[in-house]
Amino acid sequence: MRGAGSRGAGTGMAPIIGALLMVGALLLGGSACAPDGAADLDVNAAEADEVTWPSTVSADGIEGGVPAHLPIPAARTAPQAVSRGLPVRSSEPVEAPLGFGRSATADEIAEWDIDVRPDGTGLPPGSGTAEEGVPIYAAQCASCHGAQGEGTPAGWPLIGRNPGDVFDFNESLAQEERRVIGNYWPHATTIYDYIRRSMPMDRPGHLSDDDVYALTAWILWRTLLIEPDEVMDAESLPGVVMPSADRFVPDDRPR
Amino acid sequence: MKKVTRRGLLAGAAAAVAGGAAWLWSGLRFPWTSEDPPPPTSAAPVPATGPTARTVPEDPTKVLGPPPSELGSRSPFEAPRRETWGISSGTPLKDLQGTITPSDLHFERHHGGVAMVDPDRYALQIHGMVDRPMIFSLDELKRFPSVSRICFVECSGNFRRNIPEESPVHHFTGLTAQSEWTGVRLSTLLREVGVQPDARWFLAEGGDSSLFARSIPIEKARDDAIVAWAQNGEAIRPENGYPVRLILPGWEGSTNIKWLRRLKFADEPFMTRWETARYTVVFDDGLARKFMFVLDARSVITSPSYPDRVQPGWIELQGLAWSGRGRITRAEVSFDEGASWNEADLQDPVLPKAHTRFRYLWRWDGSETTVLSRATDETGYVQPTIRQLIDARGVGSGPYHMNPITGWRIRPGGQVVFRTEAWA
Repeated sequence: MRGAGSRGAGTGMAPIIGALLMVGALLLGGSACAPDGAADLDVNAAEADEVTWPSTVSADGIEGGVPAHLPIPAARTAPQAVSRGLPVRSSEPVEAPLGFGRSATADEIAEWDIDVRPDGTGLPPGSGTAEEGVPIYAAQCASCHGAQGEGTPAGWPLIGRNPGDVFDFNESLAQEERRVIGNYWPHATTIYDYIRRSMPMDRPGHLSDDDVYALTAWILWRTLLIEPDEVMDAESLPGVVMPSADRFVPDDRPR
Repeated sequence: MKKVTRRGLLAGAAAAVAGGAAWLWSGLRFPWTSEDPPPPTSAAPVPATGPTARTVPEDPTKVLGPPPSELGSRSPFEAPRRETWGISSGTPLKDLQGTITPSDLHFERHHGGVAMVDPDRYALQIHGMVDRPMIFSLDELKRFPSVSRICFVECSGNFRRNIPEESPVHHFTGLTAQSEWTGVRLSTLLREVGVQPDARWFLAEGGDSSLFARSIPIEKARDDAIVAWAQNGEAIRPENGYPVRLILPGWEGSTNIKWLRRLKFADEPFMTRWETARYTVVFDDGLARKFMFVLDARSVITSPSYPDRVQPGWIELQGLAWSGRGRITRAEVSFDEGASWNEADLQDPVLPKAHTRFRYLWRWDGSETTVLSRATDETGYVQPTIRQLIDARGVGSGPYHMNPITGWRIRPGGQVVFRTEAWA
């Protein structure tokens, strides 16, 4: 009916009459029960067929439209077609695809497919070291996160793991500002994912994949987890074990 | 909130009438149509200026009212506002009635500001462990069988510890709001793309500047998730995710991804920053709870509340109760610090995973009194006290998923203040 309505708009009375006929025929259970008078109404059958019923619907009922040897007005064939089609109640699930939308191309998927998982799935080619990250951090990150990652009012602290730090998970995590990468990020890959996804906040999406590797390495080095010249890439980054890796469990809150 | 004074409005109207702007229905322009600036006047201008403000005549029965307009506006005497806190804004629950939050007062919590999305360029991409990776335009999404549902959306960080007495309700509960959402069931889209049997999770990603993303178990997609494109009868507001957002009834607000642009199916969760370093809760066993999706039952008394001043005598207590696990079955109020509870009336219809308004008519004798509220949902879960929450999770727990019993202290003079309770 949706196709019928949209196609019929603005083409005069014929589609309206055709639609009324269809409704009537539907109520009466199809052409077999249609009163004789229905066929005698002054409706141009061909026009009604063309205007009110997309060919796909007619074809669904009778291949190729109305056969020539059956001089039935199109308006009386249409309900048959509907009854053989998809469920008419929109609340009923449809098993087959409805056919809306279009296929996503490989390029379209690749352009948006940026997520990185803990096992390294999704990490792009490229690499970086903390040494390479020093100037990038100074230029891109320090204004909000502080020269050494200590944080400023504009940006969370990144670094909290210094020699002598006590990594008491309970103590240090009562305050959100003490949750830093060294004590509260269970996966090294999340650092890469987050920087590439969201940073810098005022200019996201502009860092190269190598830059993101270098910045990830810089944070891991400052967190005392890797050496300054250690190369971070799709192979090595997932192997960095974070101090809080074993501190996260699924929701089991008391009820 | 700035109060609009009646005196100012009357003065403005009088000046406009005195200005001799005679007008009729036919042809002549109403002197203060919504397109016009406020009428010239030496008196105080209408505070709620802007394109929709209208002046008010001294006697509306003696003046022909304005003609119909293309877009309605609030009375200039009413000026409800969200309160903003940088990265979020709170719904003024105290100013609202019923259970539907006006769309322009729905709370906000953004991670990369409000994304402005051109609906003609909008695309939802669904890929990963599916048979048919697909892209849907906005119009194509709207062709699918649609569904409407009333439910709340609440930020899981909708409480803070050690709230001071001078706190309006939205300072500790303002990050919840309720709308009627319309869209296509995610389960319908699952069939359309042919999700593979091994898919267990999906990543829902927004098209904002943070590309905010959360991993969601596929069971929620099959249950009641909606890919929504309408809110309260019209297009979703930009700050609520225009043109398309995910709605996961009863689950923490951050999973209801706004400006939804990508769904990727996989066999494992993705472990984004917002399901590890944020939106996780450390209990006192030293372990952080992740994927803490469901919002437990909660209630709050919205009236009376700070900064109200009440009179002795009959007072109708009103509030909201809700649960992410189903329907509210009971809302109760206590006047003796929780020693005894009195069942309040629930306003029909009581919908699952929805704000439910409760009322309790009460006679205040003028003496200092505390009033508390408590919700129970259909799973039997009873809203806990702060003490119970601390005992269960630890004093260091938080800041997410805190739903304690709260209330108000009514001082002998009638001043209503938040009933403080130390988080210790």
